[in-house]
Amino acid sequence: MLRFLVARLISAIPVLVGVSIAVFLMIHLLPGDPATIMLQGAPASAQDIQNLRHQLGLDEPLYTQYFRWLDRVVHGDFGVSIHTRRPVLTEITTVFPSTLQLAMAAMVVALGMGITLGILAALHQNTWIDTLSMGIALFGVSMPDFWVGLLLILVFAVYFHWFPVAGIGGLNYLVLPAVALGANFSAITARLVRSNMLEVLRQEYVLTARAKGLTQWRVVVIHTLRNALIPVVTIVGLQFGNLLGGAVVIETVFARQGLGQLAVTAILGKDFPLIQGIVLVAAIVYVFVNIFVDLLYTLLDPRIRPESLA
Amino acid sequence: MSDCDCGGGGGPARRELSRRSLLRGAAGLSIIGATSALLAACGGSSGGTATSSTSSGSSSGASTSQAGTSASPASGSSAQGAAKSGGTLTFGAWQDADTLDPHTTGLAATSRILIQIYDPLVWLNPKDSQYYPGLAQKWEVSSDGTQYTFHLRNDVKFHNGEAFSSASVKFSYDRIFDPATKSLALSLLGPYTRTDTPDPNTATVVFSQPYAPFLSYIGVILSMRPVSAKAYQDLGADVNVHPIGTGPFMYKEYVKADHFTMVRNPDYNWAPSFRAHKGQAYLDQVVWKIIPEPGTRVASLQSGQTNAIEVVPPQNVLQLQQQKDKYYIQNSETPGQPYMFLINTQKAPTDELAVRQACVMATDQDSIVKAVYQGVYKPSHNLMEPLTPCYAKDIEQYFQFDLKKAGQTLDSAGWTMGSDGIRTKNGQKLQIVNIVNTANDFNRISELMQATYKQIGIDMTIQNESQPSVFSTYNKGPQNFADFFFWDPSPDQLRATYGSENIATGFNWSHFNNPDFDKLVNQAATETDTTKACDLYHQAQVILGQQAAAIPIYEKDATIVVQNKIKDLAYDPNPYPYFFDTSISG
Repeated sequence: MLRFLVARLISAIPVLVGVSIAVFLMIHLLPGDPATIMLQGAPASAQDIQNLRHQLGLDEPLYTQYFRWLDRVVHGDFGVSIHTRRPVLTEITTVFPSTLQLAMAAMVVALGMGITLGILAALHQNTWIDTLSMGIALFGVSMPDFWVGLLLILVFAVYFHWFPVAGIGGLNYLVLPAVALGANFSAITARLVRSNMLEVLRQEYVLTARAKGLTQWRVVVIHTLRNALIPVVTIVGLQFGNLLGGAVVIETVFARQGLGQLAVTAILGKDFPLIQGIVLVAAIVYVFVNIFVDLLYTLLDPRIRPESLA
Repeated sequence: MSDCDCGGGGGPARRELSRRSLLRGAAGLSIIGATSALLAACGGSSGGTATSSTSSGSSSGASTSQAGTSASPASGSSAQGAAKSGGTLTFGAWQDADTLDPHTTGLAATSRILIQIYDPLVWLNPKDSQYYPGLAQKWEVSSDGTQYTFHLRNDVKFHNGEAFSSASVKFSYDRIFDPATKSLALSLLGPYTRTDTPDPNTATVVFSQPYAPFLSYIGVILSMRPVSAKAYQDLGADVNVHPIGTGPFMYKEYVKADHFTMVRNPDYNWAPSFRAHKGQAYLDQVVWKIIPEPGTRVASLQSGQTNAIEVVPPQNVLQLQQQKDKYYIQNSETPGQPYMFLINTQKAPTDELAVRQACVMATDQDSIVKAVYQGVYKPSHNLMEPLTPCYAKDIEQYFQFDLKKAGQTLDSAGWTMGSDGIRTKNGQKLQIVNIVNTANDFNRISELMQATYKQIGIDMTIQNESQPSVFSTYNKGPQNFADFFFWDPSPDQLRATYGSENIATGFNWSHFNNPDFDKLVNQAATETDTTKACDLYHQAQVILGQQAAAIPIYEKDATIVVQNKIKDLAYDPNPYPYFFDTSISG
């Protein structure tokens, strides 16, 4: 098990290196000289630009620059935001917890709703329950998340006054945004759980369990659900990246500070150090989430553990 | 099984056992992890990093004084005696502050927050356009217009306890003047040289030439207000998130992109005489809640999470206007320049006067504004807004819609209509590039103009670019049309907008370079007689009109929608909302 973990971590390194190269090259691939881009049109003489180039190390060969940059990054120096002049890492770590909270809450909502709907649909296949559940799922995957967000605000915040409209704070600030963000993924999960459950329910060991006289609950939850969830675990990792991305829209609608809002501001303002920092952090988080999910996957399904292949 | 490193190293049964316990452990850990993360959200306090106030002395945190306690405002003003003291006002703002340092901020959004915290030397009362004593009890201007002497109050304290004196005035202006500060207010100081402090209650600001706009900038602009030298020493870089002033409200807490909280200053006793009451402010607390998305901001007012909101989309203004039992609308005109297009006078084909004139005449502001804003905003046919000093109504003659005359002007200039509906001259097509600043919502206006221009053979392409990079693009000048508006109480802003020294680095996005114009506005800046100054500015505007340097579209009003229970929301000359006299009733 430990060797598997180490192997996965080692295989993540080429991915991270690749990402770091792409992020580093970002500013060099843009038309124009990076120094001029950094200055953003502020008045500068040719000498000023020369000095800035030297300061940024732009007069050195590209691979030297890359290793210098990598060295700084590994030591936590992601540069300084052009507009706020604060360290990029500070900017990101200030807002990241809020986005992480939102993404996890949305995941909880999505999995909770999705798995429940999927089980119901599978157990009552081809009945009205099945049709209704899948109808809800279709709705959830078709509606744009900002529309869902605004609708939720209108109904539950403005009309019923059950939740606040905007901002960050306690749990009640998290409910509406989490539902809006999780709606899409819950639909996908529901369909996946349903089809997997249907497949697993047809297996012989389920028949055996029923023949043994086990209650419906034990049959469904203990014996079938765990196996049906294996593919769901896989897509949870992939979907986490989507949740981080979707947070951009939801954070704007609900006026929550977070990585999404920060990214939008950085991109619109062409704040390159900040953009690079955000992309790098997002990529690193995504890689590690997927490693974790891979591990979980092998834990859940003994058929795919490396020892069994030996 | 030597390469199995599961615990125990036994047979299959042992392995299954350890897998199960691993699973249980993993499940347990994830549940604990998720729960604790969500519980952290339950904490009630905000999730971001809050930089709380550590201000000395009085009640920064426990400001819940109710009417009737000893801390209530002085009973000097009988008319307001019935106004309730206390309560929190939550204001729904559309934009976050960039920095909380009044010398380096570039945003009106920041100014709106900080004017509650910093008092000026002299106040400009927007109701009668007169100057009133503030931190300075009286002041004189030397006969040659180069020296402004202020006689200061001796009972004023900053929020950190530092006494306000002439040293504070000197520190403030010297800091703006210092190139290391990179202050955006530097141009407002004009030909500043130094501030003399003969005694703690007298400060004389000295210029190298007469500088007429100075008093109006003092009365209106945030960055001209004195700051605490001690704060910059004590706080270092933190001063960018911890403002210390002499105003009726004090900084309490700022969570970036979420909210800014200020509390009443109990020591405040130097409000100007035109305010409705003396002593402290009524409100306990003002919370600036930052909600950039307009739909959400309106929803926050409707749900009661905010008591007043700004920058309301026209369709929501119309909708909220219907609910007179709940809200009232406050619309204020603002001095400055209206929302307009600046035409690039140095890029073909708009470098040709006939083309610019045709563009001006082909723009139907009235219909466009009616279509896009449904009557909530007023179309503008002038270079400045009516509240600006030296506004001249007759300049409107240069900015009138006349589609037929536009076509004729192009005909006479040799632009012939091509078979594709676009005019050409000497092989060049009449194509103009309109670079739209995404922050100003000019897309719909541009599209309507594009359609009308097509009728007379002008082909307009619309590109989008966002702030702040669009500003430097405009300076470089690849565009024919740049969109623009300006908040400024002084006609001197014409120099900032059209003066030739501001082409590469300032706001002169029409790249206007006219020596006669430059001479007029520079002379007007030194002219202390207002009538003579306005005459010079009038001549300058005539040149701009004849040269068709801009196309005005609509007047930018400040619209605020307020709950009925919020009383006496005042405005300063900008106009920004000012909460000193504001109270909550019922």
